Amino acid sequence: MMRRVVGRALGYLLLATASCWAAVASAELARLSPVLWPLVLPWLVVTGLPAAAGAVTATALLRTAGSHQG
Amino acid sequence: MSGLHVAIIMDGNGRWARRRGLPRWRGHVAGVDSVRDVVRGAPDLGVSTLTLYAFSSDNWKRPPTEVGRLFWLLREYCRREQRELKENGCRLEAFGRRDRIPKSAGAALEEAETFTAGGTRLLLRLGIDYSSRWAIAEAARELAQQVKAGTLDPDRISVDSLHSQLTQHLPEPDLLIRTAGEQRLSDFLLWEAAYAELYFSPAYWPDFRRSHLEAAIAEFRRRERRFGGLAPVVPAAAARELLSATAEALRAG
Repeated sequence: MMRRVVGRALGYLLLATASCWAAVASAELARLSPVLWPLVLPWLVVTGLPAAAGAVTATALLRTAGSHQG
Repeated sequence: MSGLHVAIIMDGNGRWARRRGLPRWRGHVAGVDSVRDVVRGAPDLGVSTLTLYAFSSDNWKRPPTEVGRLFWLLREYCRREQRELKENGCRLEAFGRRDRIPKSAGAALEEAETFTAGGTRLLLRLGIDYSSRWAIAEAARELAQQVKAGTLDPDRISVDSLHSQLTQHLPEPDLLIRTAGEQRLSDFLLWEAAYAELYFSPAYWPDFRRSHLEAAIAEFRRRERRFGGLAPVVPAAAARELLSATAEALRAG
């Protein structure tokens, strides 16, 4: 029970963090002229990898927590 | 080139980025977008010379990583924009010290200067590693060397001779804009801006767009410029025309 709650909380936290990153990154790109995207894209990719990994982990955690519940 | 000379102290990149939870250098990248927009719009607003304070000599005091990023951005700007600058009739010219900036940035700058040399619509001047006090000292040193070499009579040193040495006959700024709400000159064009109209915009530089420049120029055109005199009081545009006509007449002898 406790493990499920922690897993779910962690999953939501990771998902929220990844969503935050996606929101900030897309807002930044939307604001910049496309000609300047190559200047920030490499950095977005570097910081985006942990965010993407977090999102995958979050989905897995939430699924596991959900299947245990079911 | 007989249009307006507008000089801008581009301030607020770091604060703009911090407000968005971004690292400071991302504010500098966003600032490049403002440069692009203002440069594109300036000629249509009657601006023939645009002087931007891109990197002050005091900026060396910033963390090395930020300084490195600023020069990286300068290099990228020169490389990516030189074609568009040329197409729009802009001539790029840098002023300030060249001996301390990274070689790759210096090379990109020189390449862009050569590439855009034929531009007649807008003179875009970038102050790089620039300090007004340093520039004044350099001009004074040059005059002193001429005196030492016997080519200049010390009695002939005047405001005009120092002015010519310092400005290389470029027009003085008519309007000096500083963004981000700060109200000081920060060692920028201290001599040249003696009669410039000052305009302080609360907008951070990455938010500054052509519309902001338009508002500043509209405000400038409403002001009266007396150049130290009392009367007749002439509006800015008329004063410019009068000065141009006088200069033409003097040149014609």
